[in-house]
Amino acid sequence: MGLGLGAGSLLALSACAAEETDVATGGPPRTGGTLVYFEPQTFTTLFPPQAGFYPNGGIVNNITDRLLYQDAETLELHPWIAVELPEVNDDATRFTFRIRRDVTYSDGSPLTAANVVKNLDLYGLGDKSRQLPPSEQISNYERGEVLDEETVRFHFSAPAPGFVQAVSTMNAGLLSDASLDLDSTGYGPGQSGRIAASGPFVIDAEEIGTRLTLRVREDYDWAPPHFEHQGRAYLDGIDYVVNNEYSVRIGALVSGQADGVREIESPDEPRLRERGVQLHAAGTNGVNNGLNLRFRHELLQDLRVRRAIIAAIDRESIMRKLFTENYPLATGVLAESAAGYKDFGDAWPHDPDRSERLLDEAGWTREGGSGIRSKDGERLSLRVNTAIPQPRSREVMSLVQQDLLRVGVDLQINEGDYATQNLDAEYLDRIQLYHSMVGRADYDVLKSQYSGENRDVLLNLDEETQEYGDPELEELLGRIAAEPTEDRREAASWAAQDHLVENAYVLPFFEEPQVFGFRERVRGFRTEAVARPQFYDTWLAE
Amino acid sequence: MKNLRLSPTAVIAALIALVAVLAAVFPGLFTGFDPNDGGETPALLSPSATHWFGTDQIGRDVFARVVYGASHSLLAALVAVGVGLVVGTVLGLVAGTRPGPLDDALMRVVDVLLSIPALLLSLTIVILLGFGTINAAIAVGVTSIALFARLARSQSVSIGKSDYVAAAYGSGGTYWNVLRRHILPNAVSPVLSLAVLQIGSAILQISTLGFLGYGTPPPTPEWGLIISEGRDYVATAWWVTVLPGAVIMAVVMATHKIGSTLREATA
Repeated sequence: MGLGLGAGSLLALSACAAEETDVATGGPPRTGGTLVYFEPQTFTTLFPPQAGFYPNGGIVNNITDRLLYQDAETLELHPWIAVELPEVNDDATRFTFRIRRDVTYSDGSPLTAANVVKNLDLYGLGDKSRQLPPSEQISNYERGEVLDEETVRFHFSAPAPGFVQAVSTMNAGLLSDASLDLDSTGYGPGQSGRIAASGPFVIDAEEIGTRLTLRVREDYDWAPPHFEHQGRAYLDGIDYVVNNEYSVRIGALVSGQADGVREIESPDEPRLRERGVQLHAAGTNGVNNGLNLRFRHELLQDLRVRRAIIAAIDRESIMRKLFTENYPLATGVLAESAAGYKDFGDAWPHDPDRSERLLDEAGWTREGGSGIRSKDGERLSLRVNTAIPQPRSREVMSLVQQDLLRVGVDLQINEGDYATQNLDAEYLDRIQLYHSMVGRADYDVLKSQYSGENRDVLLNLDEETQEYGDPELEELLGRIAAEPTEDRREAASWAAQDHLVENAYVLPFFEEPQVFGFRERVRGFRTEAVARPQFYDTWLAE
Repeated sequence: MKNLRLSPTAVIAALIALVAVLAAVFPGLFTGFDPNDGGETPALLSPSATHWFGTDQIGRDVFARVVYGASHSLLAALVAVGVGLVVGTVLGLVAGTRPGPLDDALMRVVDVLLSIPALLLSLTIVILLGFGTINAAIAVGVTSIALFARLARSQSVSIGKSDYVAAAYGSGGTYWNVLRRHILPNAVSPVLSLAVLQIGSAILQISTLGFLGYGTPPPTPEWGLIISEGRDYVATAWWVTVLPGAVIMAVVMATHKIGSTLREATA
């Protein structure tokens, strides 16, 4: 709900507020109470640049503040720890921020200009000796500089227009000096008590792999200034309980043991709604959930084979069978609400006849009774990962397996837990089709997902030779992060998307939301721009 | 062997086992649906006249999957019992007829095997061998070697002390001849009834491995895998897990009943 700021809109504002009080929340926010929140997976690290993983982000987002605040709906940036939007030079290589001086970390140390520089130096450059990678969202970072007690400047070796948005994400959550000196183990499970940040909640206790407790920061008084709600958060604390058995999490929600659960699966949505559970579907504003075809693998080098695989898959049938309307069918490489979205609505029709024709042309024929195509004695057999953090990945892949079998392509679904899947995904000979997505509300999201410097989900970069299978793709991605103006970044992003689609490197399935379920007494739940929970405004009704 | 006196439950058990074996050999007799391709059928339909066990999370007919899964589960169970039976019996016979260091050594190995929980042992072996139906079956088989070895040893020890074995040695029989002609045939019937009893628990163990993701890779309809894939929807779509679970239970109990009937008959 957008609140007008001018005096003329005061009437509208009060009407708005009244409506919110009576209907949506049922009274003024009540302070107190602990929210019990069930998570499918335990966090792996609290190092902010690695907070992209849902369980990490769900915590980091609530314990850290950022220089800027990004509105989840409008994607507009607002001041937060920085008192105003930064001054940026013309070619986007110098960013000057003025910061608040009344902020303290939970370990008592003040948030100073020098500390902000120390944060961004670590996030921008990483530290190999401590196994801390740089943030995938910050490109071309050179150094930070303290101009005076309340002014800092960041220098870049090449244009880095994405930096302004990057400092608003939880991947740039600010930490105290002492916390920044930890190594990667220090950010890991079992060590969470050592993390001191300035956010509305503080880590209180941890049982490794089972539970993490946050407690409210009573003296918190630096919420983004445009928020109506200032001061401490309403909740006294949050209990993150990890339980990897889905039916147990749903049972906990229905029975009232849990107040909230992340990741409600589609088949349960109607039943939960009947039981009075509030469902909250939040878009992740990034690269859509989809299949990436690793074109460097010998079986996928032929464009015809890649096109055939894409034509064989019936996206609409998959969506109809497995998902509700909270999961919109992808109309592009990016989600419609993401920065740089381009409509490719008709690019992926289901056409099994065309698929068979393409495979025949490419020399893959059905011999013998097996039904699987082969060429020169080699079977057309591929392996796909199971994207454990993504909704119903296994079911989606089972349907893809069915569709591909019909045209004579064998698909194996990789078994194993999260760690196994991550490890296997790094090898071209183990995983040739890679199911994934990534959320980030900036043009750079494409680069984050596909660049050899970042996630490289297509494995474009050959680790051994350090050469790119498709150097043009890498160059196009680099341009998105380097163009200084909004228009040119959009054009660069479109060019990269065209390249991905024309070369049949990707098949997007749907715009991935995070679907949360909350008991009726939970009010004021919000998410940030890529659907990580933000409990600052959340409160519990009587 | 005494005359078999068949109780009604034994008859029912035999019928269930017969149906299971028929389903394993001729799955097409029982269902016209494709177990691996649901076509356009909606997911998670509740049981009906068309889909007896409903449809699963991606629209496949659950009954068809259970029927086609029978061959995987039963074949794997037979392999598992076969491994345990052959290896265990040979070890047991040799140990029982060669008192001394060899007996001691073999029986200590068996003790060690018995001290490791069966599930842990089979998991360890399947991880070493790699995932798959036959590997899971071998892993389960290894865990039952100790049981067979113990039984075969105790049988051969008692038979070895009998007069006819002494007579056979006395009339010039070699060790292997006596073992094959006199000891093995007399020791084998309790071992065989143990084997029938073991089929049930092998099905259960193989389903457990399948449930945990170490057995047959998807989309093959192995029974444990069917249950595992449906378990997230147990509250909304109970049929995907409960009905295949009931089938496993029925088959396991049937083989158990048959095994214990045989054992009583041969005791």
